[in-house]
Amino acid sequence: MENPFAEGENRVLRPPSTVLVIFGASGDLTKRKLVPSLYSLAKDDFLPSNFVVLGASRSEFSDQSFREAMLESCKAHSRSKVTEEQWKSFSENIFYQVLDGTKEEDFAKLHERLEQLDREREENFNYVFYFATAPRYFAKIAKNLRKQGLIQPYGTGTRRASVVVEKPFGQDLASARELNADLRAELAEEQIYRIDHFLGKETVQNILAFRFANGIFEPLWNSKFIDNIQISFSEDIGVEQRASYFDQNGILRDVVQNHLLQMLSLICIEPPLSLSNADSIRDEKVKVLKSIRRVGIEDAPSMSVRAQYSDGYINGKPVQGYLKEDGIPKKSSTETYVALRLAIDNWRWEGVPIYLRAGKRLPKRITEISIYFKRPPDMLFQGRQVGQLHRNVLAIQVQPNEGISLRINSKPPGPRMRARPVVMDFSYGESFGIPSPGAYERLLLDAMKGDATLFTRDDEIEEAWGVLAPIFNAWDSEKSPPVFSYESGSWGPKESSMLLASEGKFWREL
Amino acid sequence: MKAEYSYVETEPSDLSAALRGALSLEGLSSLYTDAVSSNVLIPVCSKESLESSQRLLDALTSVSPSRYFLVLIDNDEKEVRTEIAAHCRFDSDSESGCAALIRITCPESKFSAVPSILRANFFTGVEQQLFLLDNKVPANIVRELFSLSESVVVDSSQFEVNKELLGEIVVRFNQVVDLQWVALSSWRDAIRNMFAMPQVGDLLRGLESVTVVAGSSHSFASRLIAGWVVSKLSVELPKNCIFINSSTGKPVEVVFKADSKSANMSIVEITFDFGGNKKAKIGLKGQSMLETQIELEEVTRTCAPYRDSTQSEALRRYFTIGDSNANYAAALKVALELQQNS
Repeated sequence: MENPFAEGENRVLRPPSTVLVIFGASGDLTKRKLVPSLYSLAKDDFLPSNFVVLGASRSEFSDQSFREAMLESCKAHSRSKVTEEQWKSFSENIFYQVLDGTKEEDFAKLHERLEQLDREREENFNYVFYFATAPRYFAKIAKNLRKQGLIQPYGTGTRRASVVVEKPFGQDLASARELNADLRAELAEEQIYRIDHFLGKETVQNILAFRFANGIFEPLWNSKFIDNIQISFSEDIGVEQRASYFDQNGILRDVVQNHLLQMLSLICIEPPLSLSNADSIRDEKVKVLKSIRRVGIEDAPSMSVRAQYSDGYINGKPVQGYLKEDGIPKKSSTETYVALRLAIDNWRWEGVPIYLRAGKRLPKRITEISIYFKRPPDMLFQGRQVGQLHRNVLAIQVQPNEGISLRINSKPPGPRMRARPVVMDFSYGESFGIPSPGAYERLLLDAMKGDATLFTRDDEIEEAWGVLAPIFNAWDSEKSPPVFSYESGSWGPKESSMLLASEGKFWREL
Repeated sequence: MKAEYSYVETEPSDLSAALRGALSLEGLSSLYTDAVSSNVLIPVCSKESLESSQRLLDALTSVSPSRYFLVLIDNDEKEVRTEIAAHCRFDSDSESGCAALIRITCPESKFSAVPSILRANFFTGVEQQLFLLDNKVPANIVRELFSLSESVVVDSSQFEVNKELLGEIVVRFNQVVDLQWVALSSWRDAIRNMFAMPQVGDLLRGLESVTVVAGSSHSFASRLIAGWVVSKLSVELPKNCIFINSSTGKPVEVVFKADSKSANMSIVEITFDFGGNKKAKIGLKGQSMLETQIELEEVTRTCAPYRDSTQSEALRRYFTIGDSNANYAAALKVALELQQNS
């Protein structure tokens, strides 16, 4: 039976009492993102009134030593300043359990611990199980949880239990399907929350508000007025500590399959039936992904460019090329840069090229969605000296400085009819007077509330893999296209510019 | 108004953050981000150019809120050094503007590190303009900066010894502003106005020669104005300073003279000789007037105000009034030909 008290209550601020169990709690994600985010939520008073974090991993920690480690993490990584008083009340809810995710008997101990917490706190906690581990452990951990009765079949029992999993969701379409099937063998889809942290960013969420809360943009949001869409993900860092993981995956798997295709689907979706129903939005996103043209393996090389960074400079400092990095095989062909040209075959987007690019060791860290509008008819300006009429560009900057800008042409003061580009902009940092929460803060809160809107569904994952499958197949084939080279600190290989130049377009200068 | 800049040395990785901080101190960071219209690159290589580029910045920051990158090639430096400065001005309650300056100093041997600093700190979404006003900047560095730029502001009189680079600029860039061309706008206006008079326009059929007198240190200005005249009257390039008047098929000679008494002035006088004692002449009267003199049966004179432009003034004029660039490429092509043969 649907909860009659949930109707219309779409602005629940505080989730019900929850225990967040983090598997793999000794890892980097917990230290850098999860616990610091929880601390900020606690400081802003968004956490449930009764809330517990239970870290679990094979590493030997006590409750106290784990709390001390998390204190250092929060000091280093939380956006909120750590105060003694706040930390004291927050840390009283942090516990630790030594646990091997592959050992069934360890889950019995986990079960006892959770029951003990129920008794001590006089609560009937909901559970959120966060799998901050390698994907190969997901199915085993889920199975062990179910066997212990810590996860009940969806819609039954007296408490809600859900599982949060991190990317990568498989290596390709086949492995993604397998992973989904393994999880679905133990859990209902409604109990699985797949995180893509980009969906937790304010600017990404703002795409829907921007499109559908303003009457002026949606009528232009189609192939009649839009010339091309570009999504750029640029990092100035190299592989850092992730050499082994990165070399096995490459940037196409690491960020394009998830972050970029998620942003693309939000930019291109039809208006959903509801903004407060998770499946309404996810249904529309899946439609976009299904509409992206699937190309044959023989066409993939002409719509994609891959490259590796070579020696160069980042902000004036010399850096070495990818093949010289520690932990990278000398003959690796893993791409650190990729550019794609996609097409969406539907009424709204027919004929509008979509360009995606992602790369490491590019000049700066920036992620931006750039929407280029078509040039207006210029007959009014023919014969006049107006300078070069620039296309209007709507730019949604996702990081580092979240905000939206619109480039228009305007006449500068003076006696001549001239047009120069100017930028109208809105910045999150300056417009609202309150700091933006971190992406993980929003996502953790939603997981505790049971709101799956900002999490990806199984069919989204599989459709995204399906879009990229021909490219992976082409790259793995006997006639695989070359891996080009680009100097660190440049904007990528010249072949990437040629991908757009062949259609009279060019990458936006970031 | 002379602006005051206090440069602060900053690590390259901290430039943008330091600029925001500096502008916050001025209390106007949001005004700056709303108004930035371009990234401006100014490479300089000599002390004289550094001083003139500072004057240039004074002029520019008052008319164009941009992020300025002054790239100073100094072989006395051993490493790449970066500094920032911010400057805001208040003209009235509703008019004010900010400019951010990043100064990068390096020896020529270390220049390869500079493009990465530039790319990392370009203000996103606005165009990159290269101000090429110092002919001592090595050509390889200029070409590297070409690849980072979408438009060029150049002073062609500085590059008459490097015609190849000038020619490259015109081919490579859609948008070229030549300050020499802007500085000649009064002369072009005067010539246009003179030939707008029907009795004078009819005389073009009998044109026999065009004589341009320029200050002795401004030979390229004379080639450029002559190049414009020739490109308007002929479809072919001149040979040995003789061009064919397209409407009559008759040859016309272009003569260049230097006036040593007016060494610092640009153009001093332009004379159109129509034969049979018929002439039309435009010349400086004093230093602040252009006089048009038409010698037919009678002599007719008109005057218009004139000011010989420095680089800064030409730039200020360009940004506040603008100029027509439609004929520049053709004029330059002819000018380079005349330069070679005169």
